[in-house]
This record gives sequence, C-alpha cells and structure tokens, in this order.
Amino acid sequence: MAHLARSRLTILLAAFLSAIAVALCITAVALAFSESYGFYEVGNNGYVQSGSAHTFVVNYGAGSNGGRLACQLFNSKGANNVAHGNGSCAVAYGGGEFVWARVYDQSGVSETIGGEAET
Amino acid sequence: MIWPSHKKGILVSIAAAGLLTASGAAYAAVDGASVDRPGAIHQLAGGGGPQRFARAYGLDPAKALAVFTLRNGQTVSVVGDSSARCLIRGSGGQTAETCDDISAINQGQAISVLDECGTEGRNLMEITGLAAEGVGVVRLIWSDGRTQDSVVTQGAFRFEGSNPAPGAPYPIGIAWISGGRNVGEATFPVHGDEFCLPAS
Repeated sequence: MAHLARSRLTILLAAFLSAIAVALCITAVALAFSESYGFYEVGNNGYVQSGSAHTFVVNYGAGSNGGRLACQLFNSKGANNVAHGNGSCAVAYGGGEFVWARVYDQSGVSETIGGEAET
Repeated sequence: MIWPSHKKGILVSIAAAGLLTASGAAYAAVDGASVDRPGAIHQLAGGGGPQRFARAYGLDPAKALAVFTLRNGQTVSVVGDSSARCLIRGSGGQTAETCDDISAINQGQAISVLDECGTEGRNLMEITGLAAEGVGVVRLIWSDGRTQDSVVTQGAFRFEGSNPAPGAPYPIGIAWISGGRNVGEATFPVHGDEFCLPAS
C-alpha cells in the first residue's frame, strides 16, 4: 500500500513539474520579440535601422555583396556595441536596456543590407 | 587580402555568416579579391531562429566545444566538420555566430572585431576568429607595426584589449603562423576610422 502511494505521489509530482516546464516555455516564447528591418539598398557607409528601440540582446546583419558590414546595438545612455564582419555580422548586448539596432554597409559600394534583432 | 600565390585567383568563399543556400549566388569584390558568395541576405530575411547560421551549414550547435571565456563574460565555443566551422559567442542565453566554409576560413574571412564603445565605461575590444587549417599561432598586426601573438585553440583565436582612440594605432589584420613561418595574411573587416560608430 505504501509503495502504491509513493508511486502515485511520484506521478503527480512529475506531472506538476512538467506543467511548470511547459508554462515556462510558453511564457518565454510569448515574451520573445524579434524585428527584421532594412533589406534595401544603401550606399557605402549607409545603414538600416530597427523601427524602434527594444531590449535587444543580439543583432544580426547580412549584405548582398559579401563585403564588410558592421552590426550595432546602441542607445543615448552610453550603450554602444559594434561588431564588424565579412559578409555578415552579429553583435550582442547584455545591458538589459532599450537599444536601437543598426547594420552598416562598409563594403565600399552600394549594396542591399538587412538586419534582425532579437530580445 | 594577401595569400600565397597558388591561392590567388581561386578565392572562392562563402559569406562569413555561414549561410549556405542553393539560390542566388552573388559576385562581389572584397578588398580586391573576387569572392563568389551565396545569398546570405536571403537567409537572414528568411528567419530561421537561434543559431540559424550554424544549422545552415548542417552543424549542430549543441555539439560545440567551449574554448574561451572573454573578459566581457562572453563564452566562445567552436563546432565544425570537414567542410565548415562556426565560432559561437554566447552571452546571457543568446548567441552570435561567425561561420564559414573551410576555404573562406583559410582566407581569414571568419574574423569578428567587437567594440564595446563606452558600454559600461570599459571600451573593450575583442577580436575572435577561426584560424586557417594547420596554423598554430595567429599574429595580430597593428598599424604602427607592432605585433602580438595568440595560440590557436580548437581552431579558434582571440585578442582582447581596448578599442583604439581616434588617431591612435589600431589593429589592421592578422598573419597565420605555422612552424614559425608566416604562411598567409588577412585584413580585418574594419578600417582605422570605423572602430566605434556613432550612437545617435
């Protein structure tokens, strides 16, 4: 009898923990936000930018000609992280503040560039 | 881009994001070299979720080996196979990847220069990248001729310092060192006046 009770308790506990795990996953998905921006042609040293500032933690960029790019997350309060790459770039910011996301074309010529920033 | 003569003219590589795609190969010039690249931007526009770049190469980010922890707290790990490799920088559950095929890595295309321009008042600069095959040491070359070396670990390397003040010497590229010899060089994806971009 005691063994049966322990088994049921174990099952109930497992079900409870599973429900919590599912709820946490759903919450995380619901709170996640990403913005895709740009994807049009700009001149050398031109940039594309997110439509608004958000608590972005990562910003990806890519260009059509494979040349040099810079990805940026910044705000007016001193946050300013920039990552430079060839053909693409990715920059992270862990400050938890609202930041804007940009991708610069530094290839030397005009190209189509775009970015995607995620919270 | 400087590379042994037998490599010149066959500089065929793939975008640094490691975005293999069957569609829309673009033709472009990077630092004077002809580079045949797939449509990296189409991959980004198509979404794909976290660690999409590694998965685009058929690599499993879960199998990445931890290599370094940078001063800014970011972790650096590497995953790869015989055809492509990715360097994954992790921070707070998010990742930023630099992926490429082996030929592009050998050309020095898989290098990322990160500037923390005033963020938290630290002005840190981290240079991370994937080294060419068989290279044991990567030599950082500065605009004033200074150099410093980094030992390659799991195919990756890092240099950490401060981002250069206006007018100060700045890093311009790297040399691959194998057996004590310089076996190739590559320029950085950032020029002297581009290290910290405007925050306005």
